[in-house]
Amino acid sequence: MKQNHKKIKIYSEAFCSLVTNFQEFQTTKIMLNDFVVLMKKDSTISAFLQSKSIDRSQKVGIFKNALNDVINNDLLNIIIVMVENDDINLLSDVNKNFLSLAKEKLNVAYVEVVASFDMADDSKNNLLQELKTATNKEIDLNFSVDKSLIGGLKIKVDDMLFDSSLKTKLENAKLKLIGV
Amino acid sequence: MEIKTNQIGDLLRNQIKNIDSDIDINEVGEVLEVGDGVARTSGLGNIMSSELVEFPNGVFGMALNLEEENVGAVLFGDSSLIKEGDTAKRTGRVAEVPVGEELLGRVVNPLGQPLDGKGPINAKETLPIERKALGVMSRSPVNEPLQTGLKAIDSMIPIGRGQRELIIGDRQTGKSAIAADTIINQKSSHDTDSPVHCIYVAIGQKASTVAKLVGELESNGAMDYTTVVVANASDPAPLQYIAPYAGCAMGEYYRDNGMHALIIYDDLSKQAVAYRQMSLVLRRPPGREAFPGDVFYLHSRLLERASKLAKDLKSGSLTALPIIETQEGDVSAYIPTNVISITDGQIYLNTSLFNGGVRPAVDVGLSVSRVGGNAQIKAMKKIAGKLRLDLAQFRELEAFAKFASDLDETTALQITRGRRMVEILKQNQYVPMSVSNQVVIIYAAGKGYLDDVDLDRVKEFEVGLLEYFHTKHSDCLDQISQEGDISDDLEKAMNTGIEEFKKTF
Repeated sequence: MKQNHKKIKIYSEAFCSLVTNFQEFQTTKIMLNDFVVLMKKDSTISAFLQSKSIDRSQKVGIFKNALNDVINNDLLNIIIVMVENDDINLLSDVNKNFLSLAKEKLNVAYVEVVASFDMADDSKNNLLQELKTATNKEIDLNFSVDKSLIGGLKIKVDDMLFDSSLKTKLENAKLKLIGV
Repeated sequence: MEIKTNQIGDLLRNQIKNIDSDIDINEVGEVLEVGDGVARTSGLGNIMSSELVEFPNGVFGMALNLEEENVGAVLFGDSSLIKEGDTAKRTGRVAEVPVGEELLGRVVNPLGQPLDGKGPINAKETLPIERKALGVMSRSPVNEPLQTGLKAIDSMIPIGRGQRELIIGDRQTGKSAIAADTIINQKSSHDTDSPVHCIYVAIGQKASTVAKLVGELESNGAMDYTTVVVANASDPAPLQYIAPYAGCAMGEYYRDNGMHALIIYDDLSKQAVAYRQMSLVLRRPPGREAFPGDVFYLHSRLLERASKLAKDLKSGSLTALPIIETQEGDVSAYIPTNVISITDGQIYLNTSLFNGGVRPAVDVGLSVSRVGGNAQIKAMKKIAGKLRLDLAQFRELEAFAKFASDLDETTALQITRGRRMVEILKQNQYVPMSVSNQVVIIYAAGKGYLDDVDLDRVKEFEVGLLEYFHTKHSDCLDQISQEGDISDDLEKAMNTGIEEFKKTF
């Protein structure tokens, strides 16, 4: 467990050293995220990576051939090192650690916006600008829709939650009415 | 009754209008895992130790383990209502409870929420449950007696206000009975200018047992000045863990405001077990008997909060009577030895004495009060000085007498008197006795007035003598309670009274 912790730190620091601006951060984040999803959801790829009968050098060869032209060389090299060391199963944790390291390095705030409806692009852009001004940081924005909010928004900036949703207001009202 | 829908609608609309429409801003984390009454959350980077955390469905928790990667919070509610990925909100408040006289007569849980169905508690003040014990300069030595109303205790193991006196014994030896009697006896203090308010903290007990006790306190008129804090056996371990601290905070309110309070922790063995459970699920390393390393501090920081305050801090007091249950009389187990070393003495209850009909089953040899003697009234000190020694000698001689048929006169007299002393110290439950009555009957026994009374008529003699004094010599009783001493004149008057009564007995 402790050994894994060390490895996760090393790999995530390696990924972090590759990003020098917000654009690179976004690209790397999306790529790593897609990779993690792929490994979790695609049973063929997952079985291939976890298979003990397939030689590691064979795995590396397949990776190189398939991804050489698709992703950045440095990025691919780190992934190949992970495959060579049989550590590719740590990618999900490495991704999490990379995000927090990179956010700190590039002064990026992770913002999650949950709305009760699909917001128009204009509104999203306005919100993005407002958030940039308010936090004085680059914004890694993620939108989602949750109709159960009824109305209003929930905006989570790193660990701070700004909740103006009608659902929460009604829940607070309920608590006040029953005197909790 | 007709339901007026419009009216209800209007009421609700008005309430909703008044609700603060500001945006809810909270620092939040995400639940990583939940189980065994503990939730681990990510985020919450600025959380304080012991801060309350709000989870969905109205469940609250308390942050205890602040680790690099996550925060471990113990849950005060049903953990099945929380799932992975749920939001955990900081409240910015450390765990606190309502305090004040509004809590008198109420039965509450360790969070100060009412359990008695008597409506909300409109306390004006709250206090954090974890408070640092007062320093040396804020305290004064114990110098005021706290009467339990039990002859065996008030005479031989006196308790002073601000003292910590442990009640220890096996199961079913009458530990809680002593606590209940002491609470009931405080009723008399409410006729004086220094009333004692009581807090009874029930930890890990059956709900039916607590209900029975509350019923007894109510029927004896003791609930008027008592608060009962309950964390039943069915409540989560964290609630059982915080219950004594919550009760202590309620008691400290009286102490800090120049009043007097008595708190009973029934019992701290169960609290230690709850803490052990919590610590193990929080993955803290287990030590002796699987208790965590800080189990001594668990009790020492609690009991250190009981104190008698200095004059410039209004001289209030908080007296603590912790209860510890032993297994097969083993006082050398981990928790009993810890608490014995922390407290200012212990009342040890013996199973064989209890089964032999000596109730309260106080083992005089193993019981001690380290500071209470300074608080004992002079009258009691005078008559009880030799009582302890006499009883110890009697126990020794009694063992010999079982083998020898011929005894010399002195030994026989000692045994006769000892047997009557033991009989005198027996007392029924829920019948505490005033200190003046205690002085009269112990004085009579000590002076040998009961030596020629049949053993099975000693109780009858006691009742008769006290009745006689109340009707014919009430001045003697008044003098004892007012002056607290036995002057030569008073001694003569008492002798006369006892002799007069003996003629009629």
